[in-house]
Amino acid sequence: MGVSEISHRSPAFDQIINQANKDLRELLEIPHNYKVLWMQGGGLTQFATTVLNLVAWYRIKHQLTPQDQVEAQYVVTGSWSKKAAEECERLGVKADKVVDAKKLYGGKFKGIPEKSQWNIQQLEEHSRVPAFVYYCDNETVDGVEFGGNDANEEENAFPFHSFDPEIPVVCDMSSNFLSRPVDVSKYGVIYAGAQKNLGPAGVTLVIIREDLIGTSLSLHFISFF
Amino acid sequence: MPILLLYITVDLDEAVQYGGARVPSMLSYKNLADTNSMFKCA
Repeated sequence: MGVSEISHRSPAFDQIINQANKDLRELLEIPHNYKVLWMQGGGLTQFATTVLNLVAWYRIKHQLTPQDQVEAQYVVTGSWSKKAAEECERLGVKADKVVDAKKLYGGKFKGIPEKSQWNIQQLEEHSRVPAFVYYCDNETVDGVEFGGNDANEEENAFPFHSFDPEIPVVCDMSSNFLSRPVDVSKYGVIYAGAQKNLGPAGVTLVIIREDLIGTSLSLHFISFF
Repeated sequence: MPILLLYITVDLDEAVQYGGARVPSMLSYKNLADTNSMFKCA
């Protein structure tokens, strides 16, 4: 009997999920302030899930009014990130394309544009940052993959250092998850459809920084003593 | 004058009063985290 055939309420399944969590934490050296979540719906469902959760978190954090527009940034280097940006817009959140590689390469996704061609906003002091920045680590349809280590300024590395550290980075790692070491601490959310490298189709793994789950509000009490 | 900072965790449904949408239970990261990925409707 396989994992997809047993009850998710059974002791056998408890053992599987606990071991999977333990193994993942060890393999990726996942920091303690990150949660590992097992969801359904594959990577495509996460196109909307990331937006819904992070925009709710963001609206609470900044105590916005219904009239306030929320913006996210998308690095579009292939068809998957393009679809993710479209889903974001469909949900009423402005998807600002920091990179639109198709435009830059004359109508086809061919690679990762040089960083000088990225349109990363220089925010004014005290202005609100975007809710998150999103990219897809490996665009399978187009053969475009980020890689390397941005600390070494390798050409195709994702330039974490170019973004305000306050902005959570969301990454779709569906097709290259666990294919190489990843510094999880650089991310707000990592997700991956399990079917490529990890498990049964439909299962989706999410690794999320704890503070992005339940929004923390700071209350200020002034003591007179 | 000392200032005490207190951090509390709130439910994502709080976002509604700030113009957000209600996150479906099955898509809520918080719900999944609270139940160790064992899906439970609110």
